[in-house]
Amino acid sequence: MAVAKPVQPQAIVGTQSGDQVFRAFLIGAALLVLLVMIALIAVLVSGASTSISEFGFLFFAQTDWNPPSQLFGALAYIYGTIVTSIIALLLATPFAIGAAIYVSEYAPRWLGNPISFCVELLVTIPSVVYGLWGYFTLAPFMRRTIEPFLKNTIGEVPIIGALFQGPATGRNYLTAGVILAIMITPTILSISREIITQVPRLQKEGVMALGATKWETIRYSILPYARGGIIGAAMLGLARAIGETMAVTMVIGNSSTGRITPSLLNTGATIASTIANQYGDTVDALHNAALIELGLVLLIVASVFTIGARVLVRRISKLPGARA
Amino acid sequence: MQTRKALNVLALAVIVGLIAAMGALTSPVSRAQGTPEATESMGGMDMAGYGLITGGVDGEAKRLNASGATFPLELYKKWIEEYNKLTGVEINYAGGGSGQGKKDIAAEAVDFAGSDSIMKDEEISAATGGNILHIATTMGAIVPVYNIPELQGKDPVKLTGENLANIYLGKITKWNDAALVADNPDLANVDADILPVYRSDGSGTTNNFTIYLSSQSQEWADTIKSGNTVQWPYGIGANGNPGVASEVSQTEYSIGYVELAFAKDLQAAQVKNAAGAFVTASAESVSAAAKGVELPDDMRIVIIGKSTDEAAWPISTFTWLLVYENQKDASKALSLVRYIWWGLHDGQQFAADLGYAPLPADAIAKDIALLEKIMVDGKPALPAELAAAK
Repeated sequence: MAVAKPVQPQAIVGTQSGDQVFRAFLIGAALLVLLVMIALIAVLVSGASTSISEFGFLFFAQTDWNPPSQLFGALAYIYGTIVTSIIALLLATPFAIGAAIYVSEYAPRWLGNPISFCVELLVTIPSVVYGLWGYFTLAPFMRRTIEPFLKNTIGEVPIIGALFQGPATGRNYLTAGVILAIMITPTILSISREIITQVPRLQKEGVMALGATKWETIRYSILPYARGGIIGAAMLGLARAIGETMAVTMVIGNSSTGRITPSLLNTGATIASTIANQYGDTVDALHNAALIELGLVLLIVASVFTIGARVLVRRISKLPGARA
Repeated sequence: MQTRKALNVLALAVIVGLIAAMGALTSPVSRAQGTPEATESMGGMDMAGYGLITGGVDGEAKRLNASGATFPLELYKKWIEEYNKLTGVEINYAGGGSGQGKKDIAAEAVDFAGSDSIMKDEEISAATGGNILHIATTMGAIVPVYNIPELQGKDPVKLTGENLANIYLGKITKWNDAALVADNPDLANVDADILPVYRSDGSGTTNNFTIYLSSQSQEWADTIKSGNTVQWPYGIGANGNPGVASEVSQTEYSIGYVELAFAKDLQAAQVKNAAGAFVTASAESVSAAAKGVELPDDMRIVIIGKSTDEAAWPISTFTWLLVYENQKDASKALSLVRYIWWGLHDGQQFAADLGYAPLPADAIAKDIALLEKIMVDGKPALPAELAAAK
């Protein structure tokens, strides 16, 4: 007890220096993120330098990827990445938002909670597991059932029919897009649900008090408020789809034709799947550098989408009815 | 945020698990000193130099590290296991592909390496440890496999090299194409699109297969060329030999190419060799491929498509161990040459069962001459009693 008194002033001094240490730690942690980003770009650029100086802008404009001829162009892979991601986004978003609204607004607690829990579990499933399921279950189903159906229906329609031509193989852009959609749905769903449950009770009750139906409440009170967040959720899903490697590699068919054709039933390849396939056993330096440059391109594509998403979210947040 | 973290942790756990599983596959199974009699009774090989290594010796390193080709991996795993029982020497062959093996040996990161393709002169001169020798250890084959339900249980499809190239070029697109029916009357009624399947990962198997196609088709040699990864004009990519095998078995009217060991449960084609005969891939026909060609002293030869032997399987290749001519560590050098000696003699008996083919005697003689060139501290590394036994 007697010892406690002289300690006290020291304790205050200690707190102050502790504050400084803590502050320094926080700054360090924040700077570390920047440093990692800079180091990443520096390593990619230096690793890809021979490829960059050899091909320059042609790397983005050429579709041929021919290692024995030392010719490397990424356009077909950029196309594959964007097409599969957009298919995924188009298929996943309506389902994810619908399910999020149901879970947070309609479902009774005894049903909503287990569903939310399952969704959280789905987010944590490693992509290779989705890939295995895609390879053994989804791809044969697509080949036998979905693809012949699409060819015989939409495939017969002029113009958009071009999307569904060629032999059904089960391994193509479409299957990759579908598996990506399944993978990103839980991500979009769980974030959207979180955002919808944050819509203030007063706002909902106010609209209801004016005699709005359930649908009108959702349409005029919840969705405008949550719009920005939901789009952000969709963009997070898109970001996951762009970089997804393992599952896509297993179902996309890994084409290396270097041709861009409109049919989604053709075998394809994405930036990430190409890196995963070819990185292990490259013999010559230019091929290696070109693969590293592909990594850089993936970073650029992902950044463009992320920045685009931020701009979109900001625009939408300014619309009437949105959160201030 | 928490879910993402959990995702990362799970993914990490899967990766760690996979690495551990791969490690378990490549590391020797047991450390126990085995009984030499067991191996001898299996043999019956009538060859000088066989059965000379009966246990460990003083002064040899008990551990060697290697990496490289996965094409001969099944055989090497068997060798490593048997040799470990016999001598207690542990060999860690980490796989990784021929490209990795070449990089590792050039940087002296391993004691020896495996490769399915020969190193170029400039690659050897860039190596930090001096001249690198190519010692052929076994022969492997690449076999076209297909899935045509109508031909199940009937004669195998006969393919010429040119037809095979044209299928992969997308110029022959149907199984009842006149060029195929000419050799295979059974195909006349098979009106189905051919789906070519190839390796999506960079691979020595692809390299050897495309070397063969380049030797058979001028158009292939001019446009696609050969390499571990090429720009396939047409078809579907699958990962690894198991991936191609499973794709072909799942997809009707597809065609693929796999190593001999993976062709067992599939319909396998006969291919026309340089002597003009259609042959079936087997250990015998693969061994025969080393006969109708003149082997150079350094064993750096691509024999694919070259043998004029009547029985030769045309898409056959050597696979090599890459070893420095001048060794720096006497104990490792002793261990290394004894292991290779054992592989070239006692090890050959395991080849056929695992889908490879034993080396013919003249190839082994050239290999031993190379083994005798390995020096350490200015003296041959090969023990005198082994050298005398050839």
